[in-house]
Amino acid sequence: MFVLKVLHCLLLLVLICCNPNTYSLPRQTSINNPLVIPQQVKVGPFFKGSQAVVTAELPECTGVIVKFFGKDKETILNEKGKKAFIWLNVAQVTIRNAPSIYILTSTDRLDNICPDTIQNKETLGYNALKDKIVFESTSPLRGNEFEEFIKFNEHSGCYSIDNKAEIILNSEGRKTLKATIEIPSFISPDEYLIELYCFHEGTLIDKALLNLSVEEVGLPLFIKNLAMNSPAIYGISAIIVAMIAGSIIGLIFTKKKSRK
Amino acid sequence: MNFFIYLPVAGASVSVFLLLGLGLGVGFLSGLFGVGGGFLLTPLLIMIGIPPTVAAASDSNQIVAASTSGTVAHSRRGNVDFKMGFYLLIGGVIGGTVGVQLIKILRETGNADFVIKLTYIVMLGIIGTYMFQESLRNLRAPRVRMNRFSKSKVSEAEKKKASIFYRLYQSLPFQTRFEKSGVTISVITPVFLGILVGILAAIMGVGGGFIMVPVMVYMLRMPMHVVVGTSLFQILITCINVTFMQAYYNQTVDIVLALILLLGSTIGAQLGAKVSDRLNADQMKVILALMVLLVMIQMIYGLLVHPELLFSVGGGH
Repeated sequence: MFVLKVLHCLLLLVLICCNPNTYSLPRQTSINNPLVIPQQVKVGPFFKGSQAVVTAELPECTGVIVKFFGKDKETILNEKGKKAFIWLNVAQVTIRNAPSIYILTSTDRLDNICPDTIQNKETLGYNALKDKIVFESTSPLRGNEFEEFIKFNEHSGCYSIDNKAEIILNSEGRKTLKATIEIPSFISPDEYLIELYCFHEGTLIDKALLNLSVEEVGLPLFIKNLAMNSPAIYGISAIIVAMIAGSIIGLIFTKKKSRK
Repeated sequence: MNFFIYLPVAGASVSVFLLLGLGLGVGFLSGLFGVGGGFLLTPLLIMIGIPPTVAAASDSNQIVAASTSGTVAHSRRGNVDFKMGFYLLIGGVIGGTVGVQLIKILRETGNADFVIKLTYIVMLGIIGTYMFQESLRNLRAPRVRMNRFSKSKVSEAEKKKASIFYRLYQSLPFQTRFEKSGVTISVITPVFLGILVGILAAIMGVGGGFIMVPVMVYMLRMPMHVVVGTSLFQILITCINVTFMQAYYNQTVDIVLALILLLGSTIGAQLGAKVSDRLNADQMKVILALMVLLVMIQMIYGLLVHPELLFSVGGGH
């Protein structure tokens, strides 16, 4: 009887050891080493937008969502509408609670990664954003303001949603995230956040937060400071520079003509 | 290869070659016709993503360079009537102030956008059609052309027949001789016409060069080549004032944007001034008329076709 019990235990031990789901490195239950490169985007004279790459070691999961977003701000936009048979600016729409930047990249379609309840709670996707943004207009609202607002922001690259993020299996058998965020050239210097959401079969396992700052440097910073802080000097300088440039080019052309 | 530059006040990154090309094209027209080009360049800048307020203010700054270059080039040729320009400027400033108040009232009643667009189309339509017809008629009849508004003498009899304005000018007090333009009229006339153009320019949100040129040609009877130089001089003073005001009160002048545009536009203005010497007055008027009509057609098209985006950045007209 004792021998049988020992054999049974040994068999169980063998089964446990052979099962790949139970034997591996210590099971990871959280997002490890989340990182964004670069952590600071410098807006210099030749800035034309940029890219930021987000990486992280992932726990066992079926989908990941990366959200890059800015602070909520109030925006006033002109809205065109048809009056009689012509398109005119018919109203001014004030938009509140809309993030300045909203770029979302995921490993699959959002609906395949998590349910609507979580999407709404964590503001993931345009449907969730729709409940958050408030529109006020100088004329009665038409109902299509949200769709037009998204179109307007997608046009400048400030809003976008794609599923190009990848989960890569590294040499140690660990899952690693690689997501590329396209930073638009219209981005304002500010502090931005990146949130990583890790889901397993619709359940949120873990999330992580990263910071990304956008800063003006060099000549753009100098010019902007001068324009904002010393507008009189800036205005006079702009006029003098323009007049000198105009005169110099005028002289160059006159000399060329006299040589001929 | 595309070379981008960051515009600090506009907060946008734009292709340098695109801006240079726009400046060159608009500067060329400025040198050729004496129009500032604001009515063309500002909408083009907005189209490439520059905020409207920054586009309008920086455009004024680059026009300072283009019109300095153009004014210098034309004054060396003796084509600037500073005296006439001064009176037109006085009127323009008064008219501009009145126009700004009118726009305020229209905005309060909610009709500003409609009135602005309608004014644009009507003005462009009238000026373009009239100039085109008149210049074409002159080109077809060379003898008549020589006697009309070109550099040559205009017969007194024809002047009287041609316009009721002429008889009105003669009856007004403060008659003054404008040597460069070769006309003797009351100073009230350029001041009054300056006021009208100033009002229209304020309503339409432009410098007014493209309205002022036909006014000088058809109403003040100035020779086309003097008109171009004088218009550029007037635009120069107006845009210096606008640039300073925009920089001081609104902080919307982007000097980087203006510098790239002006590099293209000053070269373009010189090329335009050279070409203007080679063309005769009526040929120039036909080209300007076609351009004005083209802008009008583009505006009508823009009003009738469903826009790609229903939202746009606020500001400007």
